[in-house]
Amino acid sequence: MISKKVVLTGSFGVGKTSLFNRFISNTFSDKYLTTIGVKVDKKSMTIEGEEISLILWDIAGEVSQEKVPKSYFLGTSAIIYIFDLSSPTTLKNMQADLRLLNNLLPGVLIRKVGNKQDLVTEDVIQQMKKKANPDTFTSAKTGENVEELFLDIAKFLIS
Amino acid sequence: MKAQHDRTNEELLLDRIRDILLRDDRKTLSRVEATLQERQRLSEKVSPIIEEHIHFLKENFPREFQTEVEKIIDIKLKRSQEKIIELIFPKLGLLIRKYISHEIDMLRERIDRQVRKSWFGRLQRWMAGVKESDQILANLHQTSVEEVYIVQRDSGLLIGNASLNQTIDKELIAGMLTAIKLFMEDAFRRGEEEVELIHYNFYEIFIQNFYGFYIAVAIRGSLSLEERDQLSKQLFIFAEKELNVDLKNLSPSFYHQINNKLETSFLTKTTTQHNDQ
Ligand SMILES: Nc1nc2c(ncn2[C@@H]2O[C@H](COP(=O)(O)OP(=O)(O)O)[C@@H](O)[C@H]2O)c(=O)[nH]1
Ligand SMILES: [Mg+2]
Repeated sequence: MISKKVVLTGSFGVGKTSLFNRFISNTFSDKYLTTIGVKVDKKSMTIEGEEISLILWDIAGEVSQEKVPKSYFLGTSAIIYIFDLSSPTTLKNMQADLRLLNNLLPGVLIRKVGNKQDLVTEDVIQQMKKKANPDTFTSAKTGENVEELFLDIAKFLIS
Repeated sequence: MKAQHDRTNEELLLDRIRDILLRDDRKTLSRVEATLQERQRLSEKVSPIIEEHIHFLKENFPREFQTEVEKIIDIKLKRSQEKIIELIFPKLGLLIRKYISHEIDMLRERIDRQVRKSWFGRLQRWMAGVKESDQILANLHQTSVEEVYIVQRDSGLLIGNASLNQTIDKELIAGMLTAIKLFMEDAFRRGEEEVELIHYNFYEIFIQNFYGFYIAVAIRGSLSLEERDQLSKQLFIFAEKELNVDLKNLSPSFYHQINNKLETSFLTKTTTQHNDQ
């Protein structure tokens, strides 16, 4: 069996915890998130006969990555960078954040995710495609593309 | 006759001139021939030249090739740096531990001397026949190891585990424990210091850091300093023996093996060696 560390990150309120909770059963109380700024959970999947466990780190997220301990990101195989489609300010730090993460973890798999798809029109989605070029659009509320996002990452990590 | 005689004379003369003119060349030629044919003599001639070249290389190699060689060594060192540290870490730790345990022995001797003086000590020795210092240390702590985790230091991924109870997912515990550890290390920022002990209700989690991983031991009860040192030493010995492997490329069978070894090394006995006696 393979286990990989995957980190969810992005600005405050974009829906990291909601996506996390949508995808896995909650083992630890959210109390940890507020006290130590991170919560860990696990999702096991079987892909083409091979078992893989994603050890997911939900990072509370300040306004930008600067304040999050860098050590939380070490040893990570994939990063899910989430922004809020209905709140363009959550895109503001994306470039700088991604540059920082790329320096810290050269060659790490990064997935840019536009969340809260249910709150925006098709026009906004087209606009965001041009502006931020995300890998996928999700909704933690309806569950749209959530399972697929994690499955896609697991597939990538197993190969 | 005369003519013939003259011609012969002429010929002789020519021969002699030729001889005189070519003598040196001929000598050289035959010498070269002989030299080439005889290995021994050839080597006598060639060896000094080769030696001279070798000498030149010896003298000038550093200057001519230094940067090249340094580049190669640099790359090799960088590639194996982690491996070297991983190898040295437990050995160094054991050396330091040896020194500390000597100091503790001296301390125990001092306790012995003091206790022997008291009437209580005499009474106890008379009744039990046990060394007083060990008795004192052992009475205070009835501890048992409940769980052991070997965890990759950065990622928090589980490398090995042995537990008395099998309730919660061990991979999750390893991740969360790592998160808490990182948080504490970041929050208190005491230089390069790392978390060594976490208290939790009636439990103590002792953490021994190594280079690319750490080992966390959950203990019911509370460890004395000496017990902690003893446990730490055990962990270093275990690491030196069992964890000298490339932790980034572990085979599936490794997990199984290491779990069994952890169980036999740490779970079946109490941490205080005094209690065993
Ligand atoms: N409508 C809608 N609301 C969402 C979605 N994802 C999260 N939210 C809401 O956004 C708020 C912040 O979400 P949270 O997961 O706490 O964000 P975090 O700070 O990134 O962890 C909460 O009120 C969520 O209910 C989504 O996909 N659609
Ligand atoms: Mg959150």
